[in-house]
This record gives sequence, structure tokens and C-alpha cells, in this order.
Amino acid sequence: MFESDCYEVEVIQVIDHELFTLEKKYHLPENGDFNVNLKEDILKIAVINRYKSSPPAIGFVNGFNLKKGAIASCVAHDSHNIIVVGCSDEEISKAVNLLVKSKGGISAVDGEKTLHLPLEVGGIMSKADAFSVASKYEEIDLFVKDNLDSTLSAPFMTLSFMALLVIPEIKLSDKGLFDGREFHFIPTCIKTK
Amino acid sequence: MIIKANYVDIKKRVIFPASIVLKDRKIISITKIEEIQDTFVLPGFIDAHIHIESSMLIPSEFSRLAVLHGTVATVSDPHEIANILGVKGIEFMLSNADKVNFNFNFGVSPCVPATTFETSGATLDADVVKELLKNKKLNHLAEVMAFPSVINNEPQIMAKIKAAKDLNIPIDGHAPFLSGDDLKKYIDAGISTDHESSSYEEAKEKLELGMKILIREGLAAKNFEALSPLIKSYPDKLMFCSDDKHPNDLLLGHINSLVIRSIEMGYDIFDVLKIACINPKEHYNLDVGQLKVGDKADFIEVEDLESFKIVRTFINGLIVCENSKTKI
Repeated sequence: MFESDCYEVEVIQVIDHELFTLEKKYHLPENGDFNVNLKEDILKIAVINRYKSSPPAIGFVNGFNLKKGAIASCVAHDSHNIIVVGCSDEEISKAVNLLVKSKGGISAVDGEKTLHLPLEVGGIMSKADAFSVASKYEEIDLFVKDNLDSTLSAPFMTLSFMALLVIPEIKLSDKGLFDGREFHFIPTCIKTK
Repeated sequence: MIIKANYVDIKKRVIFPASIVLKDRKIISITKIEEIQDTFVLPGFIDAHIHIESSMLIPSEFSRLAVLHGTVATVSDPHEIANILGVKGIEFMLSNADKVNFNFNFGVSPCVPATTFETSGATLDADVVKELLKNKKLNHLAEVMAFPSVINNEPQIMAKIKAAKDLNIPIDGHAPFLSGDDLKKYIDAGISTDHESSSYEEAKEKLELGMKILIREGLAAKNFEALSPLIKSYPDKLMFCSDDKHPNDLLLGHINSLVIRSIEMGYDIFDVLKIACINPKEHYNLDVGQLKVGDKADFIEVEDLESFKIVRTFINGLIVCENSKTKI
């Protein structure tokens, strides 16, 4: 995803209970083989255009504290493209594909295990009984906290605001990484050798 | 139907045992009685700004949880679904809301998409907004998030605001941290509310300039602690709102939670209830009963005025919640 000579990248740092984010910079490991860094909680985040076929926008995020797996949602303010955070490309793809197949909702993946709340109305609402939606949501929320180890108080809520460009400092839209202070796109790779 | 309970008259600031007679879904009489009563009746709670979509429920299912907490009405910007499906999305919200006995109120979303730096499923330009506002069911212009565009007098947003002004309907604001001359300009454009204030000083400046403040306690943003001190000085200018609520969160509580907390903190009960039950009705000119003779029978019966535990919720004269069970 990056030029092989990239050695420093932008990272979206999330703060629990806040909609704003902080801009963080991260030095890639020497070997240049960059995927995610679980120890330092540098995970991959992607936003995928759900209205027409386009390449995904990919960035890095810190603060979700997932130790494994991936979580995805069609609730992504305000355009509601597909947003995903995860620890491996396989799990990220799996979480997204669950949503694509069921035409919306939220999902969580841990290896072979998948949890999914389908939201078939516009990808963001369910027609099902309110009480059953609430309990399914609760089940997935707890799974992300207990099994994937997220330390956020509401991981899907935080996830849904990572694409809300109007709130600084940096967010990710389907078109790329965005600086909400200056109101323009910025590159993910900051420094190259 | 006759209900005997302690009648809470919020405006006259009195509580007395009364016999309330309902007929044809309306309140036809309220008579003071001598017998001591256990329960209390008062107008139901109103969420002055909530995106129904945030509950992940369609309106008809959302209302089934809301009535458990004594909520009888909501005011909503349908901009989540509008960003995805445009006019069709708004039409869906209206038609689904019509299927259930609950007082939903929707506005027309003026900021779809939110920015030009992302791909949305739809765009609502000034002509579309103007056309939508012809629908009487869409009773306000929803949150004008594009405050920089208002300050810069950009034609699209100004045309949307003008369309609402021509109809003399409320225009909702969204102006985090806006202050000074820019705030004045935003207010002068005709925008009358804000639900984004996060500090006492920020809200106070807006109130002093004539705005109404919606104290928000939602999923993401929780401003109640910072803004509740306003209750003492500005009870006529405040409303309560959630903005966003996930389904499990809505199961736990709604506007009732803010009422309980306010009263626990020692604020005057009549001021608090005016904020929760009356101010939104008056500001948005909602078709919601206020437990007066002749009104649509929208009200709640509660066990006491501390826990506000719901005995029954009435909407349009029908019981929509009884003993913690939803009836819709």
C-alpha cells in the first residue's frame, strides 16, 4: 500500500469519549515490512465507498486497542460508507465482506468466529424487534471488549465518528486522510528515504 | 376513561389530587378532588433533537423503547438516512413513523452531504430542500451544520435558510465553539437553537444572544454536567436532547434520566419539567398534548417525582406503556 521507501506515517489517535482525534506520527520498523503493530496499538483503518466501486482509503489508527480481529460498520457519519479497524488484512476483509453480503450493519471478526448485526434499512437500521436488536448489539459490543480486548467504552460509536471530517484533528474519508483543521486531504506517508 | 392521580401543573407550579377524564383521545376535564392519591400525572417527555437512525432501529421500533421511559415525542433530523437514500430515505422515515402511535417530528436536513470531501449516496440541494419543506409533516429546518458557509453567506445554504424563514418554521443550529461576531452572524441568519455547546460559558453566550440551548446527553457527547447549572437561570430557554443513542443505551433510559438527575441535583422541579415537557413543544410548535383540558391525551403517570418510574404512558389517549411493558 505504500512506497517501499516510506518510513514515517500519519496515525489517527482516538480518545475515548471524544469525537475529535489527535494527529500522531509513527516511525515504521526498520525492515519496512509494515502491517500493524499490536504492541504499540497501531492498527489499520479503512473506509470503503459503498455507493460505487472505488479503491479503499487506508490509514492507521491508535487507541482502539484491539489485540486481535477486526470490527466494521456501515454507520460512519455522515455519509455512511463502510468503515473498518483491524489487526490483520484477512480479518478486515472478512468483517467488511459480512456487511457487503448482508447489505449493511455492524460486524466483528476473530479468526473464524464472526458476529454480525444486519441493518438492512439503508445499511444503518434494522426492521427487527427493538429488544432483540438491543440485545444483539450488546452481545457484539461485549465481544469486542472482552474477546478482542478493546479498551474503548463504545468501540462502534468511536468507529462511526472516524469518518466525520468536520471534527478535527485528522479523520479518514473514502477519498483519503483528511485534516479537519485545515480542511484538506493529507498524505498518509509523511517521510520517504 | 377516568384517572385519579396527583396532577402536576407545571406552568402554575402546583400539584393537587385530581380526577382527569379522557374521551375521544382528549382530556375533557380535570377536577380537583379531596382523596389522597398515590401516583402523579404530568405531560410526557420530549427529546428535542435525536437522530432516530442512531438507535439502529426504524422509527416504529424506536418508539417501543422510548415510551418505556415516558417519552411521548421526538424532534429529529433524518440526515443519516438522507445521506444514504436522499428524499426516499426521508419519505421512509415519515411513512414508517405514521404506522405507530407516537409523536415523531422530522425536519428537512440542510447539510446533505456534510462535506464535499467524501462520497455520500445523495445530495439535497436548495431546490430539493425547498420542495421538501412544502410537506407539512416536515416541520422545521434541521441542524445547519455548515456554519462556515452561513458566515460566508454561501448561496446554497442561504437559500435553504430563506425557504424555512419564508414558511416561518424553526431553524436548528449546530455551532460548536462558535462565538463573537461569527456567532452573531449565524444567529442573525435566523438560526434559533444549538445543541453542540460543551461549556457553560459557550452556552451562556449563545443564550444571551437569544438562542435556545439543547442540553445534550448522548452516546458520544455528554454535556449535561457542564450545562446543567444553566437550569437555574434560563429555564425558559432550555431543552433536553440525546442527539445519538445506541439501542442498548435507549433500553436503559432517555430524557427521564436527565430529569431525575436534575431533580437530584436540587433544581426546581417545575423548571426541570418545563425544560423536559413544555419548551420543545412550544419552540417547535409540536402537536403534543400538555395535559390541559381540550388537549390530545399525551401524558405519563409515574410512581413518584424522584424516580419517575413509569406506571403508564399515554399517547393520543391510548396506553402505549404499562408496568414497564411496551404496548405498541
